[in-house]
Amino acid sequence: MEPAPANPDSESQPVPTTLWSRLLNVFAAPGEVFEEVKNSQSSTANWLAPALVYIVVGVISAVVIFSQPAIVQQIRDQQAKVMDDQVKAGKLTQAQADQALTMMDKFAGPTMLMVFGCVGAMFGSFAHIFWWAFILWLMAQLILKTKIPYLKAAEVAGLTTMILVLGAVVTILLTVITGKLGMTPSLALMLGNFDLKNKAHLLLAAVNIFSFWQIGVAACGLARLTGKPFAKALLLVFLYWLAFTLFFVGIGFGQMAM
Amino acid sequence: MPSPKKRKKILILAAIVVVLVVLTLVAVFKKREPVITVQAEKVTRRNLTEVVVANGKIQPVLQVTISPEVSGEITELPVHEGQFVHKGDLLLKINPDVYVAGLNQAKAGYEQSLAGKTTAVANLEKADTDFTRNKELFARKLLSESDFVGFKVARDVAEAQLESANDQVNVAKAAVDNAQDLLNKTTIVAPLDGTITTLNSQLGERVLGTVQNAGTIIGIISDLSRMEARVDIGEMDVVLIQPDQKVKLEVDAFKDKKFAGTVTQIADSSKGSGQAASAYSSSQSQEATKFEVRIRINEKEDFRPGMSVTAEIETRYRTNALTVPLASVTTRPPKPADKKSGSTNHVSSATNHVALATTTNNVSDPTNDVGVATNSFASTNSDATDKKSKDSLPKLSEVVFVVEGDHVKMVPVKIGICDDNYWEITDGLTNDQEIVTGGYRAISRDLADGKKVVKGPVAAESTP
Repeated sequence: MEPAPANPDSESQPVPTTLWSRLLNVFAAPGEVFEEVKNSQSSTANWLAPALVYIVVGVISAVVIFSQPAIVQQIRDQQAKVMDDQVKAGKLTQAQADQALTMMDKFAGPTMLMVFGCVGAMFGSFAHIFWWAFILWLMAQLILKTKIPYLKAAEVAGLTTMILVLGAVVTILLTVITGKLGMTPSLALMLGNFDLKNKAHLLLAAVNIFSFWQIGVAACGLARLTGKPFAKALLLVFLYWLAFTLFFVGIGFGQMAM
Repeated sequence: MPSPKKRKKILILAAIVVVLVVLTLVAVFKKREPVITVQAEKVTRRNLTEVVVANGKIQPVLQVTISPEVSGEITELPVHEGQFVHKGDLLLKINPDVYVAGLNQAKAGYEQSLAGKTTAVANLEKADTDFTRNKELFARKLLSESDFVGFKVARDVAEAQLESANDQVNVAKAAVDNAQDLLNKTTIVAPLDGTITTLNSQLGERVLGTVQNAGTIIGIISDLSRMEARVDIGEMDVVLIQPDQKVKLEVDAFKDKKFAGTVTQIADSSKGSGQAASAYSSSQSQEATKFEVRIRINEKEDFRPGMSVTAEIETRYRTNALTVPLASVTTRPPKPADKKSGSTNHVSSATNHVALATTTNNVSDPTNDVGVATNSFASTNSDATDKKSKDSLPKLSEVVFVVEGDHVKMVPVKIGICDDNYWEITDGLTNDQEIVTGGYRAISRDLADGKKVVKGPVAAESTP
């Protein structure tokens, strides 16, 4: 007995998954998710939902982390160290440094840090998604020579952000557990005291499991959207990440690469 | 049975969930150890000079109060306050009329006594002649015995009268001398070279002499060329003071200048100890016992008697001593191991007054160890009940908190001398160890062995 022929419609057009499924499947089967994104109509929810989740996690992260006295103290210590260095270098007088520290204590207390963190999470979430969308779109256009709609790139970038959401949750938990600043799931965990101004520390922090996971997922999305080999897309995205990381660590804004 | 793809998804998501759950459980059940913000600095070697600070007044080394010995009206007063006078210069004259009259009266009495003496001599000569002549007559039985005895008695009476007359002369002579002396005392001259620093009386004023009563203090002459500071030192500190110790002096009137001095004299008895017992006991409950210490000022300056002075007496000195800030030393009950090891860390240093004061205070109220001097004084007068209850408390030992990573270790120390800022540590610490120096609340209450700390700026603390 021959098996019944498959329904040609169901083969060519798979049943669309729910947003919840896509947000979860991006961890386990990103290829399937991006294939669906490529083949379906543009969906705002694919980038808006991850952005909102990222905002929520960012706000929680700011509140939890900056409510840890030890963390706030480490930030103060680092600020004081920076001022000391400035004084030693002759760029500031001791009086100016003291005044600056007083101002920092006044305007950069735990509450203000939380407020800045929450506001940063709100803007940063959208900025991150649209920046990554722009990069992916640019890579497709210029290097992979494939025209893709920007919103499709935004959907890939948005869904990819879910990896960072998970990374942010793990970071919160690690920070609470260790009580130390900069405790991302990276090589920085090996450090006793993380120094935001130390480039070696920043480079170690950049070697983050979730960054590599995100690179892989973003590359997967790029490959699916453009129909190019995954390896090529992975190389492109990795090189971009490497250049981005080295640039910001080099100019002293390594937090951007964390 | 789920497909391999679906199984793979479930496995990955399950792994993620497991990792998150594990991390969350660790974060939730992790021991919540409070982190105390402290300030820290390293133990360093310094030269320490222990000083006892006391307040007092500038006074001349030599100062004489001028009081008349005779009473009367001032008829001459050729000096004024602030005038320099030499020894022997006339200071004032008291109306001598009464004393001149007294002298004349005494002289007359003297003359009278001399006349009486002459009469007595003549009487004695006559009585003696009569006795001699009648003695021969009596020997020849020409005179009765009763008449002879009468002549003999007359001669003895004349002799006694002469002796009395001689005494009268001496009395009269002494009266003349006394009257002359009183007359002389109506003129008062300067007993030393010096400046009249006080002049209370004026011309024409009646003054009382010191013969019968305290008399009037007319003025004070001071030798301003040699000045000293007289300061009051508490009984806890006076035992540290010795002659020839160096002193730094600050006179309020000369704000920008410090003077050097030397301890010259330490009172053997406290101020007020010679007063009536009742008056003393009433004041004792309110005032600390003070001893006067005199300090010779080495420099010459335009000092005025009575100027306020603050003296820093250098009592003990240590070179290259291991030191920690005063605030870093506190007291805690000894750890069980320390208790067993004996009383080496117990607070019993009688030579260290500051430590004693602090410790006494801590014992009386372990929750509040603010160093209030009155508490330590009060404790010295505590009754037997208090002593008994204190004895039942564990003896406190002096400790510092050494920073080791992000924790502190409570280390018992032995303290030596101190200056305004630092304690000398004689045992318990080594050079370059990092110790907690603040904040006050952390050291006095919060910190304990093994507590987690973080170094940070001084937080605003409410003083308990």
